[in-house]
Amino acid sequence: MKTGIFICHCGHNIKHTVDVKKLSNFFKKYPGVTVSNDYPFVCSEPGQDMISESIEKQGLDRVIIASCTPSLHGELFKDLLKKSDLNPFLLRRVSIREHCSWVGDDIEINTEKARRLILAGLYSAAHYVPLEEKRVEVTKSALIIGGGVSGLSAADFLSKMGMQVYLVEKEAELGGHVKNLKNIWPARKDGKSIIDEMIEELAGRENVEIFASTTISGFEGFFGNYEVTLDTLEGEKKLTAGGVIIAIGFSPFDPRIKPELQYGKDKRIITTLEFEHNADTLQLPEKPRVAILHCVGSRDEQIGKPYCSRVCCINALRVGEAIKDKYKDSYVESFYMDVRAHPRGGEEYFEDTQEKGVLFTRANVAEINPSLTGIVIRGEDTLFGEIFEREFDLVVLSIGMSPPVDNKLTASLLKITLDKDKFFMEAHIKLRPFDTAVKGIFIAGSCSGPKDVEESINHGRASAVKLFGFLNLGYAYVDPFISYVDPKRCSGCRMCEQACVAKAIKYDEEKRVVHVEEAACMGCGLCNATCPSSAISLKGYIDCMIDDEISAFMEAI
Amino acid sequence: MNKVLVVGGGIGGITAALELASCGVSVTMLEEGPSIGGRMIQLDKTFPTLDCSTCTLSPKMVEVALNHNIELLSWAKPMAVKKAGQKFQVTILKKSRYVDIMKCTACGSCFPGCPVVMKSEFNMGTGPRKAIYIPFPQAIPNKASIDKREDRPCKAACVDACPIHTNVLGYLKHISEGRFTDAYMLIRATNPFPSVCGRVCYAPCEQVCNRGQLDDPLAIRDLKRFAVDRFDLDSLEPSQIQKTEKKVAVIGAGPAGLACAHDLAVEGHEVTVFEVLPEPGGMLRYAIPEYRLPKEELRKEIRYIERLGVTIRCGIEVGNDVTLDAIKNDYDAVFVGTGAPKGLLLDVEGENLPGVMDGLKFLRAVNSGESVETGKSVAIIGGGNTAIDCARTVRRLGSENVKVIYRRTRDEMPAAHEEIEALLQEGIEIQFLTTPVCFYADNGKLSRMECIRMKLGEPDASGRRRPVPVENSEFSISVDSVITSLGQATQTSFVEEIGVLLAKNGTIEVNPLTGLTNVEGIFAGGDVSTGPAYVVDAIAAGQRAALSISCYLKNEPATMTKAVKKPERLTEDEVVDLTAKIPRVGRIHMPEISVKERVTNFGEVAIGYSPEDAMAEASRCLAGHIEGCIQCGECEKLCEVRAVDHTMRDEIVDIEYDSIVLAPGFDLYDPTEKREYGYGTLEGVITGIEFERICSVTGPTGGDILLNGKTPRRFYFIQCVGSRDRQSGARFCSRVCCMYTAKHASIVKDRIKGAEIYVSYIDVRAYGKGYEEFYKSTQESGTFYIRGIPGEITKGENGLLVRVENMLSGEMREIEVDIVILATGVRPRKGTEELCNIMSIERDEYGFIKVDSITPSRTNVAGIFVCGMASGPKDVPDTVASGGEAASRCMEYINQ
Repeated sequence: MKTGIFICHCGHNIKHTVDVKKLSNFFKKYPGVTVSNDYPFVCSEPGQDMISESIEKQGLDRVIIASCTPSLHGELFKDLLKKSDLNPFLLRRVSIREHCSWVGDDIEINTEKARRLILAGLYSAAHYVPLEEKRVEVTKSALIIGGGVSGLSAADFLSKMGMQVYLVEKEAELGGHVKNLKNIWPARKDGKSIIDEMIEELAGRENVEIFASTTISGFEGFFGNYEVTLDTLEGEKKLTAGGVIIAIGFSPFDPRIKPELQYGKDKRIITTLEFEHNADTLQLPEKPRVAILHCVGSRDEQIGKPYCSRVCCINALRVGEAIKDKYKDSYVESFYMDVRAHPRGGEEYFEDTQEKGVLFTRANVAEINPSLTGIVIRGEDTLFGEIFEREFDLVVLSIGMSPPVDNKLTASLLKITLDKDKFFMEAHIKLRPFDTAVKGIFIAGSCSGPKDVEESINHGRASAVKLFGFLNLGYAYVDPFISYVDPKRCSGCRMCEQACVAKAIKYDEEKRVVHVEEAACMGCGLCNATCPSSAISLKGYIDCMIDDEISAFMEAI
Repeated sequence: MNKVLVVGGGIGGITAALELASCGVSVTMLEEGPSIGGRMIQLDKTFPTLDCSTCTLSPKMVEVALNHNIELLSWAKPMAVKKAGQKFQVTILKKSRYVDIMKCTACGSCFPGCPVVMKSEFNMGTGPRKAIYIPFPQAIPNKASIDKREDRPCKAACVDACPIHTNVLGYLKHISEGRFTDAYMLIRATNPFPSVCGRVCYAPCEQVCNRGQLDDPLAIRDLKRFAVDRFDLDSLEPSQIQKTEKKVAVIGAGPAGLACAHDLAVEGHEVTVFEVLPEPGGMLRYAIPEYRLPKEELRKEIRYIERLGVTIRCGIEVGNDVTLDAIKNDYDAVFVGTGAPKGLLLDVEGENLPGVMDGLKFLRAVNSGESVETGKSVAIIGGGNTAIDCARTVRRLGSENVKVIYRRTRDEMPAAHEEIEALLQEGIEIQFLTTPVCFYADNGKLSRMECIRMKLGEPDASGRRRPVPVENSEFSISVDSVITSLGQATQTSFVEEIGVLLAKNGTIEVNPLTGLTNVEGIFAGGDVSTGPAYVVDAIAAGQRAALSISCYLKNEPATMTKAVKKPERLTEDEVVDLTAKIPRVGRIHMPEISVKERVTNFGEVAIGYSPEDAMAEASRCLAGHIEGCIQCGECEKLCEVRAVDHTMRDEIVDIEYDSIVLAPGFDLYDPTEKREYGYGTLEGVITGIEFERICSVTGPTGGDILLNGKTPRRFYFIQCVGSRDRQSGARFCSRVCCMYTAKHASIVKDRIKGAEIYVSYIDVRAYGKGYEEFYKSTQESGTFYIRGIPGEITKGENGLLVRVENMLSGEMREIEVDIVILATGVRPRKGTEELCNIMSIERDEYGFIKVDSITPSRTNVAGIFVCGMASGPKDVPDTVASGGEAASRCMEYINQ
């Protein structure tokens, strides 16, 4: 066996708390190890060249890369092996960043842990065999869940590119929250007209099927061929989609969660959304006194909303502007922590609003007390350190964005993860902001965190182009991790048959043993774990390999 | 296949290009600089995850390089765009990188030699780079390029005139910018005797120096001496050499032999030098007087050659103590460099009288420390450098009446001009057009010599006018001793025994380019093959021979050294042109010891430059007057794969594209105009992106946070510098600075234990996923956020004083810190205007590309899309999303 071990410094990230030199020197002398090197950025071009050169010149048959989490550069290094004519499944990634250097500060402990992790990888890799990826035909169709501005943007692009689009919206009407917005900032356009334009485009296209008042009730299968069951008004409907874009948006924060806001108890206390809907019908005196509260349901750890909702400062400005425009002699005061005027004109808008006479008071609002003559707000001006008490005719709560109500359901149905705030989690927050950990399933718009209209459109279209790139060839490759049966060991108990969710295990009446239908197997490993006679193994994850890996880590070998 | 042009190789452009490529479109990516990666690759970490920026981005860069659907053109930009129907005819300028991208292996051998040190753009000027460079190790394409901005005004005649092609331009550049050690090492790269040459070289370079056509030639030799003076050669450790197991004998430890031995030792051969005299050095040791070349200087350079592993065996006369044949049998090759040690005779009566001495013998005796009696009146016959050395030596030995007798006039004197000047200064008379005809003795002691006057006749073979005696002009001079210095001859009888062919005058016949004699394995060079010449010629001959000996030992054909280019002069037009551009500045002369003092001892006459004078003198070099590459050719010499090509020219191509995506990115605000912060004037005030480079492993400090070599402990970050600020013309919020400051604070906390960190802000705009939480945790880990922007930064006693009003508490504070980091805002990338102009694209009041927020990548020109910061501030995830969006619009456009 000729194993090459490549230990990455990851700039400071690993080197800072792991003695990489010591590690590479240790493995240089280890039996079966042909090359052991450490390098500042293994993922960079010279780093990759170093690996491919070693494969070529030293004839490596196993490659161990000890670096960041395998999910980060998995495909990259696999491709590297392929290019070097080495089967990509002879690659072992060992995470010594997320699992080691980022965890503790003690260089000695970390180095020892990293050493054991690599050792475990080494013993595990000894069992590796070349495997071939499966080529699967994919369906050139997309399921888009959510008919808001993000979902519509995605549908628009994909259908224009000739792909079959199934657009599912649980409400009766498409358009999400945007259709209700009167004056979208900074476009200064009516939300409904934007949405109508988009719907009109879609309506004329044959390859778009829109399911309103519909929810997803079943979801199975794999990338390229997801089997979806819809619960429509006309009943159940099944379809196959190559990929999915989830664009189910957000829920407006419900201020009732904070009883001290008195929301719902007095009709003079309303949300920004309500103001938007009812701006024309509000009954206000000639010189109205209006208070606007920022950060309602945002930046608030007590109620589990530690995040900033990004759009509400601008919404608060829009309210202030609207009042000032309508009532010149009004008194409008905004109570804020930081004014986060979202760019592209946001800052200028903030200044203009101030110039129009909206007052901005950096404050902690302590109490809201409705009285006969108005709503009394008590609080502390944090700039002047003064306690104030002022009466208003109207209090507008600039509410934040909460995760969509269907978040958990969708996540469990599609087997994707939620983040700590219960929005959907991205594969990589920076560079893959609309990918999920599951291939072919994307998240677009504010369901992965607060976004404004422009950003939601960007997300919708960007995820769509990515999905198109995945599916446009009509085929794709999937991992070859499938189960196989050792007929000599199989007792024919058929427990695995019941465990298999993919219905890939077939029983041979004559020979009284089972076998696995490769095309159907999805590599979940359930049969493997169920088999009482250890007759079933999962390619790439065989039992003795895992035993050795654990033993090596525990230094039991 | 549809074709799309992506302009800009940052994360926005990369995203768009990769998405388009995955949709089956053929993409051309233009990057104006040497590498893609944009601003993001300059970052140390990214917020809010503190992921290493290089680790996340560089795989994407590699993907671009490897993707078959993407053609990457670095150093390229669009020059003109014409819309033709739905398509675009784009004229692309491919700037020459002067390095063949197909050959360059990014080995980096060329960088150390390059004498042009520039500020690294990648490091935002916080560190240096060379004119030939790769901006950072993970660059894509990972190829060197040369930053050549203009043609060199001079012809580098100095380099062509120098027999060993010393990189004069290079070392002058180093000296002019104060890099004295680098200057020395560059000289040393082609010359094992910098100290010798810095003192006694006849400096053919200065004779042809193009600056001499404007005012005075550069003091090239004296500046070499200056570089030598600043360097302690004894402390230089020879680098490890791979031995070859081949043995070479060198006969004669003069400059030719030792230079040859040096180069052979560097190649790994085992070299033994045989020298007849007690000490090595040849003429340098035994002929050149101490006051011109101190012996210790020479010994130092020979010691270094010995440290390279060369064995020098003195006191062995080849031909007498050991035969050349025996040596030939014991060694794989032999180099003969025995020089021309024999003085020529005058051939007049009385020449053998005691008191008449041969000049070389005289100098050898003096240089060996023997006491030589010359008497009061001494005549030196001859007009060469040796004659002058003799005369000045005699003067120092105490003779009062010293005369040089020369048969022609001063114009014909072969001695160096400045030597003649020094001679005259020291009170020595030269009697021109005179030659001795007979010497007379009194009581067996030389008493007088009879001379005859000469006149100049027709030119002889050497081109000089032949002196002819004037009849009846004899006269007599009384002398105590006479020293004759009429020329030198070789002593080569010992080579004949093995059949080496000699010329008529006794020199060894060799191939002048390779030094090979007619006998296999026997090489020769220097005075022994050319007759008497200069030190540097001997060194050159030794080096040439070493090169061909190495080839011979490897059984390769002898490498001919590059054809010699004749030193060129400036044309008259060029002189006029340069005179107008470059002010007249005469040569700064190297100081010397006063005449009165110097004639009393053998101390060195020339004192050497002060650093200031040396830098001023060196900066007169015309090549040093240009920005960027000075075309000295050092990189060419160092590149093993011959990838450097200075003859490359910019290319212009016309290509048709179906659509264009613009992603030119952004620049950061230059806070120099904000005087109150003292950026550029106060030490320790830097910008966020500069700080980013200082934090980065790929930065100038390797990631150690250092300010002038020290770790700062007290940090002050100021937000909104050049954002939300009407004065600087930017009312907008730059969106990323609040977060990058929080990131910086957390990096500092992580790396510098006990650091004190303050952040001044107006509003902390932490919107974006995980941002607010990141800001909170930065605050909680002990970073002090002060609401209020400082009015002024001044120099305090122990650092920088920041005066700020904390608006939350109302108190005025004065905080002393070590470093102030300005969170500078975003501006459109330089060149965005030009880019937009050639495509008729509209921009907003700040210069960002105008888009509509509902179709965020669509510009006013159908088919041209924009992504990333070019249309306004964005963070990385938003840039990635906008890149994808632009790709989607582009796909729609081309599939219409």
